[in-house]
Formats: sequence, C-alpha cells, structure tokens
Amino acid sequence: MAQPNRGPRDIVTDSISETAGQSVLDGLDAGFTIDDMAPDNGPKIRGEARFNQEGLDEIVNLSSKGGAIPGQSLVNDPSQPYAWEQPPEFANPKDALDYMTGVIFQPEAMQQIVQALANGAAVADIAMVMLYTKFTEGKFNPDVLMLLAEPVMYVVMAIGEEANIKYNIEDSNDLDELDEEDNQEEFDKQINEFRTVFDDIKNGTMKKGMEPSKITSGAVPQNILDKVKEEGPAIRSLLGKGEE
Amino acid sequence: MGLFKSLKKAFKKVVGGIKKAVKGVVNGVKKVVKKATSSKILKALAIAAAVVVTGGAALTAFGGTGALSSSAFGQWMMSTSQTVLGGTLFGTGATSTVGKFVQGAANFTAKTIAKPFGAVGGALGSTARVGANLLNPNATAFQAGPGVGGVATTPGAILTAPTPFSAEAFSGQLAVADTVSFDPTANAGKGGYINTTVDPLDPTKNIVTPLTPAEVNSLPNPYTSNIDKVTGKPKGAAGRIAETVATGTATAVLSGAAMAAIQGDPEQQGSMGGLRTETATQFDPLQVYAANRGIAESDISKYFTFGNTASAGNMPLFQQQTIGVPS
Repeated sequence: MAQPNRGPRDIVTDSISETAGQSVLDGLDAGFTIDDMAPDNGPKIRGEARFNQEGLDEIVNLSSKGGAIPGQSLVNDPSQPYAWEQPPEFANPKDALDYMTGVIFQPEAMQQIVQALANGAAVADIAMVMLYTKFTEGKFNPDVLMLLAEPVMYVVMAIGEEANIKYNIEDSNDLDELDEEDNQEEFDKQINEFRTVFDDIKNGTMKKGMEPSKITSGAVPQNILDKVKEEGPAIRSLLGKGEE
Repeated sequence: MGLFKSLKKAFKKVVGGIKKAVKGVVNGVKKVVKKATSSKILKALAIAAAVVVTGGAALTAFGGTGALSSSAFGQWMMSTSQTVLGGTLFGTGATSTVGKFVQGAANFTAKTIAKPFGAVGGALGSTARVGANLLNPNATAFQAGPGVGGVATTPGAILTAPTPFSAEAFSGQLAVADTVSFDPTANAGKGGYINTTVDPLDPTKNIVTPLTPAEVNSLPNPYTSNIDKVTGKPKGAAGRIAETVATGTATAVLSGAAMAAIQGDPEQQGSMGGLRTETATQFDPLQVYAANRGIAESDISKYFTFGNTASAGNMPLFQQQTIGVPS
C-alpha cells in the first residue's frame, strides 16, 4: 500500500461533490493509488427492482385514500397545527445533518437502506423519502431539506459502496453509463493500438522501399501468374461457391 | 404544484448536479490515472464524500473491516493537523478568512476534516458506532449467522469483528471467532466451549483450549443461545435476521415511493398524477345529469349552466347581479 507523502490540503468549495472530487485528486497527488482509495471487494451486487406485492398493495391503498380537497388545510384547527407547520426542531443545517446521519447509521435504518438499494431503489429516492419524512415530522424546514439533499445522498451512496452494491443514483442502471464509457475507452484504446501497429508496419515497409510496383518478378512463381492471367476476372474467391 | 412535487423537482436538480459531478470527477481522475475504472473512482468519491459529510463517523460506523473503515485514504483524510479541526460541513468553526466568508454566506465550508469526532461531537459518534459492518466480498447481502464465521484478527482471540450483515454487526456486538465451538464431550462429558487453534510450532496440529468461565461469560447471548448443547452445532435458522423486518424506515421508504408514484413526475407538465387516472366512474354524475334531462352525453358541454338555473333567473352569464360595492 502506498504511503502518502503529505497530509491533505484544505479544500473550500460550495458543494460536497466538488469537495469529494478534489479530495480524491488530492489523495492521488499525495501518493495514494486508486486501489488504495477504493479497495477492490469483488463483484458488486446489482441493484435491481423486484416485484413486491406488499409494496404494490400499499401504493394501491394510498391511492384509494384520495387526496386532500383544495383548501382543506385552511379549515384545520389553528391550535393544532401539523408538525411541519410549527417551527422546525433543527434550524441549523449542520445540526439537522448530524441528526440525519445519526438516524441513517442506526442498524435498522442501515439494513433497510441496503435492502432498498439492493432492490433497485434509487439513491435519490431513498434520500428524498427520508428527508421528506423528517420534514413532515417537523425536524427541519424545506430549505434545510434541500441543503441536506446532497450530503444525505452521498451518505446513502457510501452505504451502497460499503455493501458492495451497484446502486442506481436516479434511474435504473444509470451508472452503467460510466461502464459503457469505460468500455468505449477500452475499445478506442485497442483501435488506436491497432492503428499504431498498422502505421508502424506501413511506415516500416515504405522506409524499406517495398512498394507494390517494386516487387520483383520472381517473387511470385510464374505458373501462378499464368493461371491468374488465364482465369482473368472469372477467378473464384476462396469463399465462393465451389463448382457443382 | 404541491410541496412534494416542488421538492422533488428541486431534488432532480441536485441529483443532476451530483451525476454531473461524478462524471466530472471520473473524467478528471482518468486524466491522472489512466487505468482507473469508473466504478473505482465512484467508490473513492463516495468514501471521500462520506468522510466529509459525517466528519469521519462513517469510517467507524461500518465496523472494523469495511472498505470505509479500512480505507487508508479515509484515515488519511482524518489525520491532518489539529489546525483544520472544525473545518466541516456548513462551516462550523471555520477559522480562515475565506472559511468565515463562506460560512457567512451559508455555504458549505468543506475543508477536509482533522479530528472529525472533535468537530462533529461525541453524540454522533456514539450513535454511529453501531458496528454495522457491511462489507464482505465473500458474503451475500444480509447473510446472517449468529456469531459464526468471524475471523479472529488476533490469534487465539475468541471475540472478533462481526461478519458483515450478521446479527452481531447490526446490533453492534462482537462476533465469536470461528475457532470457538461447543464440544458436548468436553468437561468430563458435561460439555463446554473450546477454542481450537493451530499449533504455531507444528501447523499440522491443533491446540484445543477450554474457555475459562470469564471467557464463556463474554460470549454474546445470540451465540450461546443458538448452540445446540447436545450436538454442539448451531441450531440453524433460529436467531437469524428476517430480511423483511417492517421497521419505520421501511414503511417510510415505501410510503415515499408510493407518494412519488401518486404525485407523478413533476417534469412532465400537465400530466396526470402517477396513479390518479380519471376513471369512468368520475363521469357518473354527468351521465345522471344528462339522462335526467334527455341530453346526449356528447353534447353535454352545451348545457352547462354554471349555476345559472331557472331559480337563479336564467340571467345571461357574466351579467348576473353581483354584490354592490359602494363607490
């Protein structure tokens, strides 16, 4: 394992994505290899949607309940507001994030998150649902919810990585796009290698003055040349249909 | 548009940003490391982000053998000097001018973390240290096994890090090393726990050591209660984790997914909600109305009165008497 030759540099950015990206590059610069940073843990489990009767039943039940009548909330008793209509428990996003990570790292929650990822649930959906649920419980307001979206998604992604699951970020198998790019790069690389080798051979041949016009007459046996002249355009391909 | 739809729409932008960032980082790293695959870079990115977001708590939250906790990179991110302690998400305690500025602007001040538990606080660490050890390349997801299969990190140790996804991992307990077993014939036929280790002087031989009463007492209850004292073998499926434990989180996830399905995709303007399709039954009142008046259903739109009925005076629409407003 490579030993870093220095400590991490301070990074000040306006997003977690940027920070994480710069941290990875910083780590590489400090002497880590990509294998040190992301240890190989064998083949991943692909997160795939599986039919779940229980889930479908719950959706049907929820849909059959119908929605609120427009203006319904205005007739609620003001003395008994919903949790989200009251001042939130966490006004500071940092406190809210601490709370959310604490919730996520609970064993039951972790288990369900891993299971959901393995069942093909998208990271975005899981994060959204967790945050929205906590919003409805009055933990934070929608603004803080949006500030927490990115960090919570990354925590869910880290859980997915830790569980060795090939998770989806938003849509089904959307990370396959990256694999396809890898494959395309590999393909391009091999094509380029082939072209390089081909060019080398071609250039080497040209340097040696081996042009077709300069082929000596004795290079091909005379009887074969005669046969070619005799057959002319009717000469058959080796892959052509043979004589009946 | 309802709040959920609005949030979902805004969430999509965040997701788009993350995907864009992931691609950007993948491409950026590939320029530096030619042979790096996208999945590896994504993993490194997730580890780095988790360390920053949780202030390093993620490293310990997953237990002793996970990719995060064993990641030298993650440890390195946490090992920087005390001077940057507090440079954490949302800028608590930023000391530099730039940090204070960013903090003041309510943005992320995501300096890499020095002593994250000092920055984040002990409370998170305690809740996070649940020992949910998730990763094992040789184990399937949610592989249970009460106390069996833990590989002792120290030779002869009877307790060790739990098997990922095991009951011990999720409950934060230690696992019993796979060298420990129950021998029904030990202890003069009364049975007892033994620890079988390889003889360091002769690897072909094993050393069987009966566990002391103190060691037996230290064995987790899920392990001891799952041992069949007659056969000395685990009871099997008893004590295993049910995969579909209906916890509040699961219900929340499901309800949220259901809600998303019902609310529909906010990107599709003017579309019906996911499950809120307009069925024929919703036209029943109109059909009754048409049938009562002998109106063809296809022409019903010609007969809408909007309350302008005979009892209301059949006044032409928009010319009905309104409440007078004093000028």
